[in-house]
Amino acid sequence: MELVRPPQDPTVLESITEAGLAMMASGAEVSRVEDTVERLAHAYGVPTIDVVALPTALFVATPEGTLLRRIHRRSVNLAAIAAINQLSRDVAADPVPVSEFREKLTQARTLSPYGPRKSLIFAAFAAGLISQLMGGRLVDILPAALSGILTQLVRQRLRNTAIAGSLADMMSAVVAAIPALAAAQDPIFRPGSILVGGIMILAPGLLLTTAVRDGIAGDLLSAAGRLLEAILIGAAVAAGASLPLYVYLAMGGRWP
Amino acid sequence: MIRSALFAGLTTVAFGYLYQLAGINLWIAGLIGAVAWAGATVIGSFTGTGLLSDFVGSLIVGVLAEVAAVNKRQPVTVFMVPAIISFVPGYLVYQSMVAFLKSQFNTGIRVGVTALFAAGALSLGLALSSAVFRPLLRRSKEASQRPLS
Repeated sequence: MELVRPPQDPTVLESITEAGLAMMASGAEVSRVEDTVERLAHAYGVPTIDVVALPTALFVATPEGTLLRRIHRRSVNLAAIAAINQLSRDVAADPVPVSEFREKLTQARTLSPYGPRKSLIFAAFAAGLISQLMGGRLVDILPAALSGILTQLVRQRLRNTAIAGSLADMMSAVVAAIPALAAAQDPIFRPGSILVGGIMILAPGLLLTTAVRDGIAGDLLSAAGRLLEAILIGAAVAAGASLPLYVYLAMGGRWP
Repeated sequence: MIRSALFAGLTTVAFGYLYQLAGINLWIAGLIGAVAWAGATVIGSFTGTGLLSDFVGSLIVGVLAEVAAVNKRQPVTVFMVPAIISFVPGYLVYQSMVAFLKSQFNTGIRVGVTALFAAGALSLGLALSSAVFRPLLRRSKEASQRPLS
């Protein structure tokens, strides 16, 4: 069935590139990003399309033109990935006007069901609970939760500044060590579990998972890039947590 | 074991919230995390070493996440990422870090390499699940949906 297509709307290419960009920046796998962009392109009647998705840039080439977008900020937002994925399926089934799609996309990409305050509470729960899996006792939950709150607070504060991502993680890890150092004064606590609980908030779990999946799919550049980012974050967190601990040990502090 | 599996499930849910997950998917992820932790603990009690249980745990996470993703029509990372967090060898990295700070370099390197291998075992489990089980799960589904051209 060949429909007579109206002349290509330039905002179509722009919008579908935006969708791919938002997914890539939220941490989706390359194959999923390419899939979404291609599905959207077919829904809006772009006959052939080539997508190259890298962790730092997105290229979308169509017969009518090529668009290149640089990715500067990356973050973990599983809700945004799921929402844009769903949006692309909806649009593929029923192509809504581009302006409406753009509106929905703007909603989906900034989707965060929980505000910064709630995230602090979740960080407290996450840190407190994971300290139990890292050899902690029940009394360690409270200081670990405090550590999680402090870590998340510093990370939220630094997110919108010009400080580079891994440096911000390092500074968050410095703060994460403080409750553990305070708890080390009392032998009832296990400061190691408290410290690990706090810094696990910063663990690059999504990057590692996506790197593995990209590698399996054959998207080697993205796999290597994301693995490198995960290692950099891990090293930055370890360095950040070491710093106060080192000073504390050098001053002759007690540490089991 | 049941207690730690419960903690693993709750940890998964808490991290899911932290990654902005909502609704039923969150609780499915929590269930996956708890089941995988229980499975890893059972394997660990037989072998005694950490690496195999890490591998089995992440394999369970990967397979269950693929199944959940197909059934709920969600990206698989939605279930995989919160559930895998409990297995990240944070404590080993910490022990290695402390050993280096105390100038116990042998211990530091030994534990550090163990942590690296544990991360490798996790990756292998996830890789295997998406390389082997994903095609198996999706094949029948795609075959039924493909239009007869």
